[in-house]
Amino acid sequence: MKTFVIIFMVLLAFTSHADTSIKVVDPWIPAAPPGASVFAGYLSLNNTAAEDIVITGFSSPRFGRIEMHRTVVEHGMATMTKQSILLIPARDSLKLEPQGLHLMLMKPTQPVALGEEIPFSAHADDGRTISFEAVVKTPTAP
Amino acid sequence: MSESTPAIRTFPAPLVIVLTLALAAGLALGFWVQSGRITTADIKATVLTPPRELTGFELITHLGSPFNLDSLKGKWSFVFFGYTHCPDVCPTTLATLAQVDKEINRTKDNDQATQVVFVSVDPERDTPETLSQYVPYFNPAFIGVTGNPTDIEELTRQLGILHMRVDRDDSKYYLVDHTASILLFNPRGQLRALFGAPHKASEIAQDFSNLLKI
Repeated sequence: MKTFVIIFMVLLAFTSHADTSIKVVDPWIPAAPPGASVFAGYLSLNNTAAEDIVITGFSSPRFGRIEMHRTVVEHGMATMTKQSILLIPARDSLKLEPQGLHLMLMKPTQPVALGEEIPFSAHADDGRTISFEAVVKTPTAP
Repeated sequence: MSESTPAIRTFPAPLVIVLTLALAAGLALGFWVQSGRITTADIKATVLTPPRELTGFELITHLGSPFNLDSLKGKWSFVFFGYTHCPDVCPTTLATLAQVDKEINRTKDNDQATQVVFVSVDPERDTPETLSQYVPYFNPAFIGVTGNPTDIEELTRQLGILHMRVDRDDSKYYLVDHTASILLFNPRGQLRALFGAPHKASEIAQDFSNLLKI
């Protein structure tokens, strides 16, 4: 009986991590010219939990390397700063969008076609993984 | 001693009325003429008055043809400096320029020929071949320009375009910090205006339209 209770409590502890507290909204990749080796990824991350969420990185079977960057234009000059984490404050959201925060997708394993849905995983620092698919869309002027 | 007479005689009433009406009409006409006139105050971009002259440079287009000072003459040129390994700013700006091109061509009173030029600040990776796959994707008429680093430098130096390579652990994926402004050259090949980031297609198109009227 005791063993059962312990196992039950352990399993319960896992379920208390409500995976629905992180929502990925509108993930998309602008289609790039043929032969492009670098792509951008944009999305919104909604955090409905009472605690901050820290995203440590992203992965995808379609890209060999993914980094998180912020575009900064200062004194007319555009620079990209690599981000080691993305912080989504409690009950708040974070938007990755053109000319701001974005994913830098490198080493595509195969060509990326317009309309495709590419699988991704976002990794949180508490070990959680959020899976989502980003759709490849025509690049538009912001 | 006699009283000094008033220096100003009293004007007859009808004359006062006529003069007041004339003044009012004059002011109204003035406002009307002035309000139709476009000045640099109506333009969001930074306008260079007088436009800045360039000295010669020798670069090459994605089609392998020469790109030099003569290439900037005879039409208005929107020029952007970037690189093809740029995931965010460059594709976004080229998409914006494609939209600007659409809007400019839509307005009938903009009878001026225009061209859009993308100059690489990463000539090591951006060969004419690379550019020929990249630039026309945003608009088949867009021109990609590259050359050897010294020649690129000759152009960027004159224009105050900054660019700096940022090396990282994987040397193949270095980044390049670069000026994000869109430059506008007039048909004489002179630098006329600068559009700072972030870029909005409708604003750029409107500014261009107004610049034609100055």
